[in-house]
Amino acid sequence: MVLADGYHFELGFLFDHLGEIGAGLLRTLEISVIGMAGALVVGVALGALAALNVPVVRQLIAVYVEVFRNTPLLVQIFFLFFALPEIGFQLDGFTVGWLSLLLWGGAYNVENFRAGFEAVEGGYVEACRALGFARVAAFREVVFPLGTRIALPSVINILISVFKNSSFMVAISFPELTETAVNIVAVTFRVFEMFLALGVVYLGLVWLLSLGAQVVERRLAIPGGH
Amino acid sequence: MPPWVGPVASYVASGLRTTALLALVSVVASVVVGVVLGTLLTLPSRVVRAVVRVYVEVWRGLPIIVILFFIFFVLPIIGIRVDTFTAAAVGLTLWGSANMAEVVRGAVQSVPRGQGEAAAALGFSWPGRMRHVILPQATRRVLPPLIGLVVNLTQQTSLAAVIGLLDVLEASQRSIERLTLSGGSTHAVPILGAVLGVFFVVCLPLTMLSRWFERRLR
Amino acid sequence: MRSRFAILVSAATLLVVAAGCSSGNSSGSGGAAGGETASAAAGPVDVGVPVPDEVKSRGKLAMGVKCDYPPFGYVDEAQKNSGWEIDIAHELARYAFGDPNALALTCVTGSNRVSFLTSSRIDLIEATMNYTVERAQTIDFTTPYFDSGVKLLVQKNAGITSFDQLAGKSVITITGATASLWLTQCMKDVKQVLFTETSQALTALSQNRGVAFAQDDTLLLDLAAKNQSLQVVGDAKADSPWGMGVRKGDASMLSWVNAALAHMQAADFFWTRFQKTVTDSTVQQQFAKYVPRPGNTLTYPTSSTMSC
Repeated sequence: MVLADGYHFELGFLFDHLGEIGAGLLRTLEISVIGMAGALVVGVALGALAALNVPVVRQLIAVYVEVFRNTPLLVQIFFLFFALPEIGFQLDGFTVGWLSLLLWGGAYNVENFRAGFEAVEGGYVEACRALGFARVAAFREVVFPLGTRIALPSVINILISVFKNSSFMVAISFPELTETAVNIVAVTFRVFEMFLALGVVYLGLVWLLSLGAQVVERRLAIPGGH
Repeated sequence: MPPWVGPVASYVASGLRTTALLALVSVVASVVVGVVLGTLLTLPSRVVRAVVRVYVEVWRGLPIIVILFFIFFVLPIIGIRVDTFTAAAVGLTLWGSANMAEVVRGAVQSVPRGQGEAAAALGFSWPGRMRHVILPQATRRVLPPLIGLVVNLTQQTSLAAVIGLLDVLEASQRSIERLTLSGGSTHAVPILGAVLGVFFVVCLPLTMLSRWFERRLR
Repeated sequence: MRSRFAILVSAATLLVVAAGCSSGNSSGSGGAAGGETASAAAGPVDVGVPVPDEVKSRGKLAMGVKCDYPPFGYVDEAQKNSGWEIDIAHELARYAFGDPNALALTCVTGSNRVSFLTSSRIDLIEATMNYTVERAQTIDFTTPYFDSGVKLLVQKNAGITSFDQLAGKSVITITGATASLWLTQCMKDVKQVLFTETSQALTALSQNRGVAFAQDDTLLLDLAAKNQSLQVVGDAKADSPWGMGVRKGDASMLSWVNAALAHMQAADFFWTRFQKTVTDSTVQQQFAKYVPRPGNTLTYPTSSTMSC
């Protein structure tokens, strides 16, 4: 097939670079999985602390959350990789990959979980206190289980975003999937086919993630709705 | 003030103007298109919902970088060529409107069903129900996530640097480039730190506004 | 509630209209066409071949140039494109339009220069591009106008003096550059740490993210001259002339640029500008044989340049 300006469309070259693309995909999955897991843990832990209103800790968490939610992820990545070494911290591409995703996703998840915990109706907590539960115990037995499940949809949304944002690592030339595609284009000049294939792969993976998310949401949904 | 600061500051400031304009265009377009699409997603018609759903899933599922590369490098091969700013604006709007549609749909569907049912019982038609009962309540609920999306979109404009748009991030990168190659130190910390600071100062008030709306809702 | 909605919608419409009116001219994806103020000639210079229609309709010569490759293509403190290749670009514009500033310069890198050309965002690549057989399958090369080989930039105390010592180590390269292509083909056990911009690679070298930075000797010599702790080592690999690039089959552009380059060679333009760009006389002598002059014409090799 010949397109404008005599460009010939052919997918054959993809098979020559299958190993490279596979390696890039693997690296995408590596930093995404670590980033997603980390963002989940950080979000739950700090979100709980924030909802419990522990004095100094709450302010510190707020600073972390506001800094990472109000600045672009791309600039955060540049800063971690190119600027930090100037003040003594040198991180390699892989570390910046999962760390930037963890910090970014974690900040959004703290907000999501905190909102989830605060959305648990006051009546439940009052009932607990009336029954003699201590504040932390009330949180552990009632607010936490309910709050995490209320927060689940928005949290899953952020985790899927973490996966998509792994593509930002082109900024530091970390060879994940998008960067690998860019490198292949730089050598083969097959820009149409490569980016088409790239789009298809991402859509496929996001679709799979969404399916998994739906399954998780359905199983963990609060019976009777919220 | 060290001598390198002057030229860098003015160059980055000009990049900031481009960022501001790109953010404005993308936000407005995303909101307009997103509200229309989001409302369409609540229509009873299955066909309409399916078509819009495809749009939403595609443009939300793709990383923005891939969308930008595609519009910038691939579309010209089939004859559609736009300049860098337009490519960035279109790409961001596709992503932003898809997300906005989801937000609007969520807001409309979060209005308790009882409201719609009561309105139907009172004799309102579907357009009437939407206009007088559902949408006014949905508007209040849509504001917190909408503002959140506006903040997000403003930050995502920095991605236009990957297709070479001279926004604030690209301007700072080129300044760091020039300083590095002329044999001095990179000054990456103050320059990138300043870029982070600018975004922070712009986005923080919006985030606070969103949270204020959220609290008013409860 | 309804009136509030109406106000919101009309405000949004106004904003869109206003933004649309002012966003028309802000496509800034390149350095300003500037540099030295060449004296505007009376009119275009006839090089024996007509100026291609696509160039005439643009009103400017749209070229992709390097912005991170001193002293051939870089950005100076006034944010203007400067360098030996930029001087050539201004001269080409003068030939085409009589105005050396009838240029639309776009900063390109080794990884995207061909994509910019195939997407017609530029009509000509003048970006320190070595001729390789593989590149010649996608674009058409003009007659050569310079030459470079791949060498290594290392820290002075690192103990690296040749390519053989790179086996199994991390080497910094630029995506899509000849150095990267050669290493991929000839030294597969080397772990390439890729970057898109020279400054990123240079910073990475100072941070020991690799034992060496492999790139064109022409660039490395300039970087070493500005950094006392770095030196250039190794014998030149993948030595190959530079050519400008046009889209495959774009015959009118190819013949015009070739005619213009021949005109410049006859006027000894390349050497005059080279002496002003590279002021060190030893470096001048080192590269003198690669500058096209009357009586010194460069040719492309007939065999592959990527020999190991």
